[in-house]
Amino acid sequence: MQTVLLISMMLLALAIGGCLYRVLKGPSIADRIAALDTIGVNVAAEVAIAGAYTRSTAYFELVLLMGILAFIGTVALARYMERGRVLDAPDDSTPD
Amino acid sequence: MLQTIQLLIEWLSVLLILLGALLSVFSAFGLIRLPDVYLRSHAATKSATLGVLCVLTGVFLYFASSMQTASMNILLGIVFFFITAPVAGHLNGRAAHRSGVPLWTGSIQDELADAAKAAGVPDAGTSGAAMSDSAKPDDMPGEPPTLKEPSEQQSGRQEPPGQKET
Repeated sequence: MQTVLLISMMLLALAIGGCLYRVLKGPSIADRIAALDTIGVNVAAEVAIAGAYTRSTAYFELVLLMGILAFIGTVALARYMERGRVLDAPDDSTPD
Repeated sequence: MLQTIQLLIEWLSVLLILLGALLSVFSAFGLIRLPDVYLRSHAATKSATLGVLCVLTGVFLYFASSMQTASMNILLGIVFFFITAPVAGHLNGRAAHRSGVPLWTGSIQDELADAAKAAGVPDAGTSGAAMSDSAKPDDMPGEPPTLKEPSEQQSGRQEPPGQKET
């Protein structure tokens, strides 16, 4: 059972490596953003499997935290790529 | 008897974890091999979400059966990933289309560019919309999309002189 968990962690590491190739190679910024989002999601799954492998519940806050960070980072990067700024100012003259 | 059920649930959860890891590997494979931002977003969003949901469900079952602790963090993580991963993929795809990332040359339909042109929004999609617009006036305006549309659009796409290299 532990070996199956270890094999799953290795497969997820392989998936993260593939996404890292797309981050380095990707022709446009949107490729890199999608690959970074997938990396964040895979890291959350990897941390969850690590928690099951070591039989401790100490890592489970990290799963939620990685999910939230991946989502917020993707939203911020996509908005930056689309409009040139992250937060919408009420009018353009005021700095945020 | 109870030991047998517990062992069975543990093996089921471990197999769910393995299935989720395999789905994540397939997602990374699609992310490498597919030719376009939008097709890659298809692979990254759907399959990675399903893989992570399988992994987290397996971990939840593993802890519920082997250590008798129902972890609310994992349940919250499942709900959160299930909600936010499609939203993130949609945002990324829309931002890519608006900032003018070109479509794959084998793509036969660009509904967002057509809708933006019908609504009069000027800045939605530059090169992908231009490719679709150059193919558009040859067709009938109200014609529904049929199966022979790819050949028509390919012949229409080769008609303008500047777009031949696509």
